[in-house]
Amino acid sequence: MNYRMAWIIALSAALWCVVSVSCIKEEPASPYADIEDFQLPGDIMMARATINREQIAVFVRKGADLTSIAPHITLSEGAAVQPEAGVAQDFSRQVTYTVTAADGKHSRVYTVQLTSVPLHAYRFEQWEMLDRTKAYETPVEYDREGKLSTPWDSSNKGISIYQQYAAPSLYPIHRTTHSAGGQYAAEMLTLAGPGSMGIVNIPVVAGSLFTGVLSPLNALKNPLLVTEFGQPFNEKPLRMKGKYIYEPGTGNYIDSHGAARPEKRDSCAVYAVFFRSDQTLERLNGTNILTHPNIVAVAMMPPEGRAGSGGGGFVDFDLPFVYDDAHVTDLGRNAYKLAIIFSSSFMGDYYEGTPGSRLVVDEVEIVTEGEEK
Amino acid sequence: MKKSLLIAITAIAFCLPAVSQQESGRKWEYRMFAGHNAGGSMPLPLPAEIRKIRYWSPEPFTGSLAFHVTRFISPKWGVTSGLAIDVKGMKTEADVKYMNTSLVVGEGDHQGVFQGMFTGRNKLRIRNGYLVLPLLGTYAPSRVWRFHAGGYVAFLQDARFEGNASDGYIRQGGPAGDRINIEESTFDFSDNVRKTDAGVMALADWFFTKKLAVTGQLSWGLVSLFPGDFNGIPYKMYNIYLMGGIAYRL
Repeated sequence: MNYRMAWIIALSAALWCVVSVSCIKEEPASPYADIEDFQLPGDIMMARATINREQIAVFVRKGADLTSIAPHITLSEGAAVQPEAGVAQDFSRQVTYTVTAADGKHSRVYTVQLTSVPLHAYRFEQWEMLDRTKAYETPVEYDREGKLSTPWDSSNKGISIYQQYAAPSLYPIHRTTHSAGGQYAAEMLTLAGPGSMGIVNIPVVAGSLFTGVLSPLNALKNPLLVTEFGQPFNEKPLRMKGKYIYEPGTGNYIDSHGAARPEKRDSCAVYAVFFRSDQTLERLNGTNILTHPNIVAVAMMPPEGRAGSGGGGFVDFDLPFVYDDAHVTDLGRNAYKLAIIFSSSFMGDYYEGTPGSRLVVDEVEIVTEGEEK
Repeated sequence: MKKSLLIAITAIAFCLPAVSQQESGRKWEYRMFAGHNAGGSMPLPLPAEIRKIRYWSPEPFTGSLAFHVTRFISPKWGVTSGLAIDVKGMKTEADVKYMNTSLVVGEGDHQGVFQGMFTGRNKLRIRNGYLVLPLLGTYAPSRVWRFHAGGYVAFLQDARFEGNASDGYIRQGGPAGDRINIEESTFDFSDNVRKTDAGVMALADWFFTKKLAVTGQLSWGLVSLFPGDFNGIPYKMYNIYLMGGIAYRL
């Protein structure tokens, strides 16, 4: 017997085994069940729909007839939606869409909210888990027509990506019964972050609550792109009023590299930015929130107020919107948005601040032209 | 790794005096060999998440250095054991789709889980050093051929399992989660590699001189590279390596 032959045959057999079971398999069907875009026909929509995990918020023209509209829905490849997109629905009531992925296994349920009147008062009385897979809560509001809307988003959403606290109160933004009016107020805390996670270094997480959407899409590229500020606001704001408590943390200020900076003191963010939204600018973000040329007016808490509220009780603030003379506010022609921003650390979007800093905000009101008292 | 090398050398040195005593009876046979490993620490069969393998190559200097002792119980049959230092490694780059991953991040009160579904490109560099103890049946049909088959246990001495994810995105929490773009991020699972491995192996020696042989060895791990509670990689990976080298009969 030729043993060399035997050896070659054995080796070939072994190799054949490896190769035959290691072929590339057929591509799996897509598990995505997203509504990627949601459009209403004609001139009903005042701004592009905001699509969150389970909600689609659409700002519509005041007085538009919403009782029979067939939306145009863009889905993930191969996904199907129920009820079908082309079928007219009565959007004066709540409409729910269920999307099933191409793989038939995964599905998502979206609730569509149509709003036509911007909110003027934020009382922080209603809090809901907007993502049912996570424990954190976000304040929601009811507009003047009694309809639910979700203008707020917070850094809780970002934190929950890598850290799942068991109770809403453990997240840095949560409701507190220490309120200035009603039952609850919004409390924001700056906490020590997870530090280096290999991919990204987060030494400090600030409690930030803002009108807009937190989108982690480019979180790894630039954390300042995560906070997408602004919700539709087609009135001219004159003042932002409210009540707050701010106590900066007593420990070391930690910079974005995780280094202690004892010479620095933490301060809070309490401000609002009114801006024109157009083809090139849907929302502001951390890179341009105070510098973008589309900014029409800013209401900013002065530095002494940002450093601390003094004492333990609520302090009133009343911040005028300072208009940029270069802009003519034309509510009839342009689309405008308002970003309201609260954070327990002013530089929180850079992952900087002093752990322990605490901001409580309640009874926030935007006074607009024509209703000033 | 250094420690195990020392143990191996001591063990070999300890056995050497026996060589001259036993050689004449041909009941014992001693072989030392060195070779290069080529193969993969890989899932079998390939999961559907792997869409395309862009390249694969063995790591340089991944090889085996071994000392085997055969006790013949009949003229043609024997039992072989010994000790080997085995470095198993590879480099690979693959396109993956819908790959589940989950990592524990932070410590203590700040410990959490980052979970998601990744689509994009995945580069891997593996280089794991083991101390291997084989137990093999030996068939010696002639002076020229030796065939061995059996099993092994291996103890991890030095682990390296690192790579990067790029040109893609992760859906955090699962397919319904927010999309996070990933341009380039690195990962290092070296600390998670299982400390032991065990599997089957087969080798053959062809003596082209009285003392020297060409040796080939296939070792096939049956224990997954990562423990069951590790979810960084959603599928089980096994050490499957072919070694080619030179053996020396003492």
